[in-house]
Amino acid sequence: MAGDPYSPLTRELFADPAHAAAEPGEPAEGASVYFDGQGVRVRLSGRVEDGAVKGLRFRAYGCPHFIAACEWLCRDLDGKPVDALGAWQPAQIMQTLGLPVEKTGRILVLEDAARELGSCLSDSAPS
Amino acid sequence: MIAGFGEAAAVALESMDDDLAHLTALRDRFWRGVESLPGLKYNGNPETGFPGILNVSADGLEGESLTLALEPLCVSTGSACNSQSREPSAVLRSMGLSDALAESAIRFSFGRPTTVDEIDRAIDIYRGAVTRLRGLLPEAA
Repeated sequence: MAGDPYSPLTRELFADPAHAAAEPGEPAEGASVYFDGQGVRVRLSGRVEDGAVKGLRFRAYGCPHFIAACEWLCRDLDGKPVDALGAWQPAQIMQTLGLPVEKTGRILVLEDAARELGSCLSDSAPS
Repeated sequence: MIAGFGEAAAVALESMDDDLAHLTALRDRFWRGVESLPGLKYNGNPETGFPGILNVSADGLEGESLTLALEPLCVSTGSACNSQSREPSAVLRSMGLSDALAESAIRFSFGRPTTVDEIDRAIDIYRGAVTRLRGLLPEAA
């Protein structure tokens, strides 16, 4: 579609956010973080099993690009080592989803949430 | 061009009463179909407003996401004089709407060829989109 502001992948992720959390608040187990700013709000939650992030879920308010980015982050990092949350790079998602540069600030809010969740999960994991 | 405009005005005048009745019925049918959703606001006056346009806000939702979720409906956000801007409409804010309500305002337009079946389909799509996006909202810390 000419002039479509959304890439096919952004449309797919927005239409089917399979990692949207069932509940808007904190989950019964694991850790949860809430961030807002730049016109968006996000809650990320997950738990640790054998050193890996499991059950990564999100709830979000924002534009289609932001919601798609939340879904993509959860799909990409669910099952990976906890350290992957802290090492997550916004540049990759900007390129993969074809996000406009003016949405960078919103993706940085998601980066902050991912890093904070990674920190919380690392602290809660048995040493 | 002047002769053409005169002819167009004559055609419009001839069917104006029927057109207004048709548009009013469609607009009212649409509003009745969605108004039971929580947090909706009818922006405008149904008695004095042009019946071919209905502007509705859905509390708590983001306008760009709501617009995309409403596809294949072709709708606009905000007010007509603000359609090229991402900022909440100054017109809607001057009507007393909060930024949040102005942000979620969607403008539906109806016309002579619009059918009742299309209105019923639009009701289903709007109700589904509002419910789905509200199901994504996070709870603050």
